[in-house]
Amino acid sequence: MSDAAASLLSLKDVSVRYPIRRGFFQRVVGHVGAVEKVSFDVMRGETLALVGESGCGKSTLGRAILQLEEVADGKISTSYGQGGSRRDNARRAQVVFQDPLGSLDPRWTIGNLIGEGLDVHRIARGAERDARVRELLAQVELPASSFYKFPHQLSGGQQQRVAIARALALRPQLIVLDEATSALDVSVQAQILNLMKDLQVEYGLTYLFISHDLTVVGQFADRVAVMYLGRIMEIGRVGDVLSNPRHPYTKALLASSLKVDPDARIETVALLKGDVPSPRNPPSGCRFRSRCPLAQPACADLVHHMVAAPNGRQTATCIAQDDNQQLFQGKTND
Amino acid sequence: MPVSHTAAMDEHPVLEVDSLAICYGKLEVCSDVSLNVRRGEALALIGESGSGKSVTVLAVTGLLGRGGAVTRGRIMLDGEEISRLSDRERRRRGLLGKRIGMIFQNPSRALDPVFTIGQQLNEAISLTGLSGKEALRRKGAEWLRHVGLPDPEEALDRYPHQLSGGQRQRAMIAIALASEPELLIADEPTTALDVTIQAQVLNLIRRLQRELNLALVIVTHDFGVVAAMADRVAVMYAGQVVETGTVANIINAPRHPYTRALLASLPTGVPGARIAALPGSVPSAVAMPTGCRFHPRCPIAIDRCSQETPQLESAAGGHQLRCLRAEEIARHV
Repeated sequence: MSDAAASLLSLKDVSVRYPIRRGFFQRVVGHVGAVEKVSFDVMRGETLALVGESGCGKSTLGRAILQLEEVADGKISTSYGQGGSRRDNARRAQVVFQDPLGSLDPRWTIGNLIGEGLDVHRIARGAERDARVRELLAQVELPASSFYKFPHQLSGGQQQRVAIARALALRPQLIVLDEATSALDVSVQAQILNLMKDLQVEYGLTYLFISHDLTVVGQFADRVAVMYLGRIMEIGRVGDVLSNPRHPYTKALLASSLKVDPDARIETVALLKGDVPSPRNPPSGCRFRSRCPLAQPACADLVHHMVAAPNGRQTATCIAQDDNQQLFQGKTND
Repeated sequence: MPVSHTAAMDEHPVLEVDSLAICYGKLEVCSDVSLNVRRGEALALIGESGSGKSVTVLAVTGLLGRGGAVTRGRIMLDGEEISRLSDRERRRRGLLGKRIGMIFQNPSRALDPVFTIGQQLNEAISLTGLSGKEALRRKGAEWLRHVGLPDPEEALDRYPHQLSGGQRQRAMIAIALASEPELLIADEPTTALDVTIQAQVLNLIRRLQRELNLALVIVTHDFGVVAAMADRVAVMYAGQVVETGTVANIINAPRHPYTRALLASLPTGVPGARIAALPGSVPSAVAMPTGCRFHPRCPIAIDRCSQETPQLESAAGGHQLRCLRAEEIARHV
């Protein structure tokens, strides 16, 4: 896995910033750092999960990889050819969003929605194109009769299958799954997750799986990167990170996730204080320090960098890292 | 189980729903729902979208809206039948906002954007009979402190958009409780929130429910929320309650094939493992299957299931089950 030749995507100190505009002329008065100096590799054929709370920059990072967002600093290099146009990139990297109905044009038939990419890239025409579309319908386990239907005639799970078929149509190497199963019922989510796993094996797909649900991530992903306020706090193999978290934020996130266990009552859940701070004005030093139960004055001057460990694991430096074990075992109160 | 619970069990239920059916026009969206909640008890209503869980609680609060009506069954609040009252009658009896508090999924839609948090709180507090600007303000600040909003005095003068998502949800909880209701209904209260905020808000709801000895109905699709919050659980499928039981029973020893399939389709967090996905999806009210409504997706369905309609019946271990093969299942467990 750590073989450099097998890497599909490589991010080096990538930052993405959004301008803050003010006043009548909408002049740029500053920037919000949505993603700050993020570096990681995505291996061919693996599923890398990006997890974190809303506003942590996980979706922005996904969009930057799809070239839907401009990278302010750093470099994203890909083994499928970099620096091409957005159009070239679309053949290699596709996306499935959370809300299928929002990403499917209500006036288009399913056949045309799935065939759109084939038309735009002039891959197939006429009967050949329709045959390809029907093949895609079969691959995502939709009935052939849905070819002439409209999105609103399908259930939420079926709509998401259409979105997956659309993403598959150009035979991409990378698919960014941006909360692709979050809006689905659990039984449908299970179907979609299984389908995506099957497709991954069949076509050697690489997934960037953006999610906030740690249990789904634990099941579906090979590696996971935990983000907080634009920075990676911890990255490593899913089993390692989720069963033995090192960074206080990863621990807090895991502790807050509810378990399907009647003994895990809400009274026993360790609570994290406060809200995620605004990315416009993040805390200095370690960005988690304003909510961290182990924060010390020195955290304000901490320079963010990743410390490597075996198995490709990396954890953001943390002053309290060594002595935080015992604190998380007892419960804390709001 | 704590002592307070056994004491509560002797009391009559605060809310009792009996064989409730709800129609929108000709569509029957809810066919046979029976539940009850006592003071100090938390009941979770769990089901997938389209199972009728939200419509059930809307009927309790009288918020079914245009075209929605209770066609069969009863809703009893403190022994008083309330299912077919006009809006005016509901208001006269203090059912709107006063005796039933409601927390919605989306606080930014449930709160009025043009009024401050304080003004919206005052509306609820004045239902308790309190009046006078100073007294209302004092009480309002007290409630906001109670739900853990930082700077309660200042928050009274804030508009909803000036608060974060978690803070808005706290403000809504304060408004729902300020009228001192006996029954609190929370419809997916944390679905829109991040996990760390979800834990804070659920903890708050549970704490207040205990302190104020409320009957709580929590509507959710998330078994994690059920496990963390509920004393008892009612599982809904296609407009019917299909199984009820204590939280430990439902999660550790589910009986109904639907409950079992639902629990099995949860991701286990085991890397690479396949999930036992339940095929198909929830049927719509337009094309409801005959017989048992779950039979087209049920792994243990037999011919009888498509013809006979099962009733919700008591089974071993305090469960209630709606399944024709309930006895066979019981023998196999």
